[in-house]
Amino acid sequence: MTSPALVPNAIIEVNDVSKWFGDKVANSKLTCSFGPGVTGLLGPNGAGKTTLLRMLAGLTQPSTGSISVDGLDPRGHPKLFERVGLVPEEDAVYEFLTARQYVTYAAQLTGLADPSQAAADALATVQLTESADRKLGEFSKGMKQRTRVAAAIAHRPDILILDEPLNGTDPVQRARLIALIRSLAANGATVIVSSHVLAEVERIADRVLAMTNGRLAAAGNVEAIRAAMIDIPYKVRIDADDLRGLGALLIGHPLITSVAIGNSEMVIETNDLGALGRDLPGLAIDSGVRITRFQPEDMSLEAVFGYLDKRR
Amino acid sequence: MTSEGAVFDLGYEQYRGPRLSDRQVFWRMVIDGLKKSVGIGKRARNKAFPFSLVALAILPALGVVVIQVVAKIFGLPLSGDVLLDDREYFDWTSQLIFFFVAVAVPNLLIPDRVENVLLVYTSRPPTINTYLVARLVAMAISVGVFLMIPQLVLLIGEALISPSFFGHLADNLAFWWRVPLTSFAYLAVNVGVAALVAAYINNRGAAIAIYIIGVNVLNGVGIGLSSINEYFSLLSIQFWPTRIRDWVFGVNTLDDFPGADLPIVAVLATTIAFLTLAVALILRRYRKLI
Repeated sequence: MTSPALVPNAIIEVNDVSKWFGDKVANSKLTCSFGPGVTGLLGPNGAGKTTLLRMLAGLTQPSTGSISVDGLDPRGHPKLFERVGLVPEEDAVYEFLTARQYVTYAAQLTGLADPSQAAADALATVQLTESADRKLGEFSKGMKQRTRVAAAIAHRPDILILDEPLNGTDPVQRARLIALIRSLAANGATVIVSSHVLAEVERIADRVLAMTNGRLAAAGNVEAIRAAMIDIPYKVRIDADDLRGLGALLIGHPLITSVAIGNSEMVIETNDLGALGRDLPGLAIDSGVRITRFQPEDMSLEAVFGYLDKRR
Repeated sequence: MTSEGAVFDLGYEQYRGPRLSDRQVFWRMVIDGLKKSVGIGKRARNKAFPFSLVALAILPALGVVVIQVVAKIFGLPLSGDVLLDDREYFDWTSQLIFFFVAVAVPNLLIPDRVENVLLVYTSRPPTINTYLVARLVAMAISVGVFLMIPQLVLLIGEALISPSFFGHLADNLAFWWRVPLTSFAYLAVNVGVAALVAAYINNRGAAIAIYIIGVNVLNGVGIGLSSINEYFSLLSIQFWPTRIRDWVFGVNTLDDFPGADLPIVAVLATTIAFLTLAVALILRRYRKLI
């Protein structure tokens, strides 16, 4: 069976990559791949996300293992970067330049024939046209972040590596950037987005690679990762007009591992959510209980990542 | 995970249009470096120092020309000793470029490194080597122009007051190799030392101080130790381009300097060895960063 960390149409391949800095291991034996669409790289601060992204962008050499971008080693093929856009975690802007000058210069470095037009288009995409002629030193953190995104997309790359791209942005800007990122992916770009904010990754990414302590903790979409955790029962919150009657029916049911009844709701645990979802309506009808809510509690990325983090 | 929400078509598509050549991209980087080295695009106070030095470099040359023109118009006798020739003028401009380089090179290299702006380059097709070469070429051009313009003012001024403008230029063909070669010696040594310091020091003020104090201390040590052996005078970095200048112009103005009689081969070999070592150390430093 193919590992969920690998995709069939991979543009970027990471093969058994480890990276250490002195005694500190930043990444350990990572094998994964990235293809068109948005892949969210999730993990707490210090999980090794930035180091992995730097290696993907050719900025850092793996200690062992290999990385290929479209079949080429990113360290030895600078021309590859005509196709790659990087938003690094660091500020990395010339504060004395205006946003327009900065993005134009970035476009020049990728060799665009009309860098001014490319910069204008990119700034319009991130909605910075009106502020384009202000110096970056006067910008808020969110505006700088959007400028860096504009600089990364000005040359219209088909591979985009974004390290915490939503840092410092307000909710409206965040929604717009998420829409932009999803749009890039919908047009065939390979987009890798790192974040330690679960809700962000949940909104952006079709596929998640979860990292803890420099290792790959899980891969796939959130439902699939959760389903793979067979040793951790699903929690389901249930509301019904007769909680005690329903509770009595469920205690001892082969699909149920625990039942906790509160004043107004009940929380049960099951190892087979699908089967319970099929059986429960019949049980309720037979016993004359009316169920008003059936809500799996730990299908969110936050819950899944909480489990992953506890396992490390 | 949810995939709710609309995905807007923002018209994004991969760029497949024409691209500039590597050379054109390189020269854009050089132009960027030239602007930064003299503070163009920055606040007025950033421009004040380099442009003041440029003015100080050019004004005496203009003064010499004006004196010559006035003397010619009024038929005043003018002693050759009063005025500066092209070789002597280097004594003045070399002092100015010492301070120009002391400030410009750290300004060009250190902020990019400390503020992580190197990523602007290294996450795009230019390599770290291309970046460094572009920065050094930018410095070489700005220092070269700094050294050459006053010399050209002197040459053209002298040509204007001579009986034949073009005859004067024809009589001074050696200018066209002596002055560029001497300028190159001054700029290579000064930029080499300043770039080496700026590559390893992360604070601009400290880099400026280390460069100025370091060069002067080495000058003193070189002169002091040369009483033991005249080859110690090679420790004096500023001696190298001056000795090369004298060799190019076929004179010896360093009579009082202990190393004045050292063979030019020793000076050239020391200069080339130092520059090679400096380039290697700078590359090593930047390759470790990326």
